[in-house]
Amino acid sequence: MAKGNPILQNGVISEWITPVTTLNNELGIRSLADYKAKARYIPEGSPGGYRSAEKVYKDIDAETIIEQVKAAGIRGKGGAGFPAGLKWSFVPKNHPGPKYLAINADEGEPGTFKDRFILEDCPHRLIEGAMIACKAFGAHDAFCYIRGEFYDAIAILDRAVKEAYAAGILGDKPFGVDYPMHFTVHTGAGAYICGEETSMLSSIMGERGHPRMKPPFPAVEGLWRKPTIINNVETIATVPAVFDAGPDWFTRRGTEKSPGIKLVSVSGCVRNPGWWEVEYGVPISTIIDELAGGLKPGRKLKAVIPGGSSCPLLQPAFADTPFDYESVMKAGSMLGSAAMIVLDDTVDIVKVMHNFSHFYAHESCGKCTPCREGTRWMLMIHERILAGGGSPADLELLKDIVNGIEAKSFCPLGDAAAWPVKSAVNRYAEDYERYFKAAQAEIESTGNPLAEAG
Amino acid sequence: MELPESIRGFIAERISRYPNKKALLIPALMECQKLFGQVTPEAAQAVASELDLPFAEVQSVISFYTMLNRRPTGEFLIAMCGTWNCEHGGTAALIEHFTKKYGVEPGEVTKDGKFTLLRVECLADCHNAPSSQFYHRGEDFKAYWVNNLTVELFDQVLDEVAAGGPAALRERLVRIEDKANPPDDRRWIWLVTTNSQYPAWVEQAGGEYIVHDAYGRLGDLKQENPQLFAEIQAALKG
Ligand SMILES: Cc1cc2nc3c(=O)[nH]c(=O)nc-3n(C[C@H](O)[C@H](O)[C@H](O)COP(=O)(O)O)c2cc1C
Ligand code: SF4
Ligand code: FES
Repeated sequence: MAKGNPILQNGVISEWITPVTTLNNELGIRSLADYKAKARYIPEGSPGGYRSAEKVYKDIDAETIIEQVKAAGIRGKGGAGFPAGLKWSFVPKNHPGPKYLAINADEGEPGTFKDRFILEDCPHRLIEGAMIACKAFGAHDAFCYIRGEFYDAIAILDRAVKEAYAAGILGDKPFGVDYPMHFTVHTGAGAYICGEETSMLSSIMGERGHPRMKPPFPAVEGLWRKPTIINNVETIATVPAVFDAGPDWFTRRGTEKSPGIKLVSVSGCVRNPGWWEVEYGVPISTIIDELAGGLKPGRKLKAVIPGGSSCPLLQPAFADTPFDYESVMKAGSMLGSAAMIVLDDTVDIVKVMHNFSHFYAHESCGKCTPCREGTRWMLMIHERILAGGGSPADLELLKDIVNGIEAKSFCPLGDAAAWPVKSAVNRYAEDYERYFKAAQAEIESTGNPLAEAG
Repeated sequence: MELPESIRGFIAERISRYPNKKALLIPALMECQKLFGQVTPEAAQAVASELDLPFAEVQSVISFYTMLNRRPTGEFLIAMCGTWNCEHGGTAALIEHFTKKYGVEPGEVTKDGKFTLLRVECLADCHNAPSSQFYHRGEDFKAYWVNNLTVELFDQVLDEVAAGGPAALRERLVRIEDKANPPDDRRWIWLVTTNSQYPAWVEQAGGEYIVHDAYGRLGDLKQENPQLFAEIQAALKG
């Protein structure tokens, strides 16, 4: 397969197939029986789930697991793209334990809807990945923190975990090997900040979801002050294929620095919104046009938000940017969680930023001042502009507030709130100016009541 | 108040996985929310006693998490997403319709006790904007996706649910479009329902249309959701 192609080689079936979740032409592999009989690790592979975990439990030592995952170049799929194998190697080897794996299924970043389908359509793939990851750094307990709204996913994963225990895959002796392995589904209760890794740990421990200071990093001191690795659902679900297809299967795909495959979720102004699995490096325009059906007839592209609402807006000139971490960064945004939000020429960027500011103001945990106050101000200024009370000075004011939040907040939620607004005022100033002109015209036509009063 | 047996069982079943009881605080509070549609001070107190935590600590946690309600809610709690994709898809009109229809604001209970609507943030269902979930409280708690909504459809769902209960939250047809870039010569459609948007292909057999959805989610419609089956038949004929 050529580099940079969407995974389409099986005709359309693979267009929506998610190799990470099933690598199979049949979706909805929820039961253990189906997973063992039907699930493939790669589209061209033979069926048979839990083969990788069995091999790893019986024959592969911890160091080799980490080496293989490093060799496959698997990068974190939750937002930051940090190499998974490298992260696992940070867990202190001589630590007496317990150590933990915390799987991040909070999926709260607006525009992101991909982990949900791994949980719902192939829960055993996640359990299998967790087993392998745990053995890599010496953990015996995996917790999967699922956002509270995912009732279906919680029930489906819970059932899959019970099945795996009943079959002796989880429990004291997985596949007869003396390496106890437990998997627990843990629910959140509606807080975007709990997707931030240290907040997630606070939440699992029964606290308000406030972030914690790093260092100590969770790999050294995490859940209950024990070494804890946090990985996204998709990251963990990608791991089993490495031990079936081999690391080269990944390095042959994608780009040199972003090897392998990624689930993208595409929403906004496209004809057929949905989620697909692509190789890193596919041009953004290919994802929009070929997978998501393109824009509605007669519309023009106005902006692409490549990685969820926390990422800067890209102008149409960047539509052909290859979809990998480095290229998207170079274009002036971030790949983030690969949640592509597509905006066409009917969309008013000021309204988008008003909505995003509402989101971040609501979701700010309130622990630090720049974010707690700054997000509120960004919301109030956008409200005022939309209500007809804006003036050109607001652009400078917004830049000033962004500057007060960015890199000055306690956790990355502050940056996430600031970046889209920063890109909007810099790259789409004309949308703001339209409001300012209208406000000015309104004043001129009605006279300035304050001037008269004076 | 005693903590209900089901929640005590929930805690007992999981406690061995954690080094302390406190870890189960949020899951246990969520169980209360599912059962009662809110976390009353009495329920919070019962959870606090069960987990050996100070009441104030439990209240402080409740106040942090938006899914834990401290006010009574209707028999159905409607979580209506207002984040951008859904706002762009028409959330404001849906909420306005709700408030006019029942004369209550978001967060309040309708006079018949049936509904409370809350505007929430992104539900990770953005491709189905505007999206919502209906939660039906009780021992047999269940959550239902109701998405790709229009005002007319929302109105119809509300009336039917008020009269017919959770069964009325079945998957409904919203519209059928052509799939952009069909991959082969089969008849490809883009099926939009109140649960999802599906790529699907259609074949005709025995005088009816058989719809094969790509996500393998629809199942045997004729058996499981005959009304949706009929709606699809009518739409494809038309
Ligand atoms: C405010 C905020 C929200 C986040 N939400 C999520 C989320 O919902 N899911 C997720 O996997 N990562 C989320 N992240 C990223 C996590 O902090 C963390 O980097 C990630 O889970 C690590 O896993 P990975 O290396 O496998 O990507 C969020 C980060 C921030 C700052
Ligand atoms: S930046 Fe500060 S206030 Fe905002 S979520 Fe992080 S810790 Fe909380
Ligand atoms: S924006 Fe409404 S579900 Fe994501």
